[in-house]
Amino acid sequence: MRVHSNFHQTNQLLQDELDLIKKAQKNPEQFGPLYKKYHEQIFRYIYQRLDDIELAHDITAQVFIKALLNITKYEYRGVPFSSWLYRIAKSELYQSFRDKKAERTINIDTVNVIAIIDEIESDETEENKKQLLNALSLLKEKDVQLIELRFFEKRSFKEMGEILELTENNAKVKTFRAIEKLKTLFLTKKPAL
Amino acid sequence: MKLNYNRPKLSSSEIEKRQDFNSVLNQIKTVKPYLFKKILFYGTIGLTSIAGIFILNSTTLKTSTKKIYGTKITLNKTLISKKSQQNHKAINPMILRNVPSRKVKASIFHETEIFEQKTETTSEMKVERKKYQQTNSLLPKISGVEYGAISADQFLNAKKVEIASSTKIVSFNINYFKISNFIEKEIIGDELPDELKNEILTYHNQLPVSITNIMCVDSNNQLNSLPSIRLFIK
Repeated sequence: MRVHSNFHQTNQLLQDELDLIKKAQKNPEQFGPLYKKYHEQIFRYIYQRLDDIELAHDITAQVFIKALLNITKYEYRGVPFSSWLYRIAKSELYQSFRDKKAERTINIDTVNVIAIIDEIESDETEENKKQLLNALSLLKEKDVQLIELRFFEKRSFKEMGEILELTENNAKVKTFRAIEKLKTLFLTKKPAL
Repeated sequence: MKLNYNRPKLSSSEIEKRQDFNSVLNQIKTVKPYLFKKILFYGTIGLTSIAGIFILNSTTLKTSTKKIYGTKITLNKTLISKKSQQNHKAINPMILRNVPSRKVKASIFHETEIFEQKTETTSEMKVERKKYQQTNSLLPKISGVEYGAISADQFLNAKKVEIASSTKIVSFNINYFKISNFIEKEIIGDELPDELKNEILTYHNQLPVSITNIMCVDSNNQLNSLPSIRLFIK
């Protein structure tokens, strides 16, 4: 499932967005257009990692509340506003995991499985699909995050870097390593490292 | 970690239906005063803590000052009355013995401006004490010598343990060696008996003579201890 990312925007769009942010910083009611623009993608990002739709909506609302409360602290860094929202979403999501309000879930579909099987240079057999799912569930959280962002949500390394607070190159290297680990788990057909 | 395979997808319209910017705005309005209260709450706690630490510190400092300098020794005023001030020999030296010597020794600094500098640290106090010892004429002496070599004649001619005029020595101990025995004698008053001086001069055998536990009464009727005198008779 691809999240509708608005990460790659023209300079004009970024400037228009910045104007909206400045208005929202002066008056929270002006935050409406930004809320409309990003609500769906933030919700999808959260729901992708959960199995509870109501909780996903609650966390999404919480993300926008936090964003509004801290909008005056926002600093423009030449990237879309969504990067900042994703970071808040990530923080809220992991807080709910820590509070045991939500269960960490990997939501995967056939298209994603095929993409990863291609990446690890294997055949698309039923047995391999099952083995891949098993290997995924054995990966560490930080590696799952990278695989989710890259292969399930089809994000660029630059956007991944913005969300995970890494450089683009670092995101690339870490994703490569995560895939290598997944490949090892997949080929050895053994429980976790 | 839970794994869902091919979970039904949500359409954009379904998600859009749940958009509710007004409820987000309303929540902001309820959250903001709460945050304000939170700041006030932590501010109050913080200020109280700082005040607590400050009070605790000042109390500790006061206590430590007392420990280092000693407080004005709580002498029974009936014991050291005007009458006894006139006749120091009347003071029972046993009263003086009951006072812890380390504290009493330091209490001489009561007399000076050092005592008023309560907020000083221990090291600063030590420096002040050293300066005091170097410069103050309140130090007891024997024939003008407070420490070190003294000639036999000087020692023999010394009538008493000398001190500044406003202070009266009420008792002291004198320690010396007689042949191979260590002798300690307690003297009431400030005078050095002639028999004692002769005995010391006969037997000291180049070993030091110490005058310790020197107790004095100052002009305010306060009992204090003075630093010891250590002499080497030549």
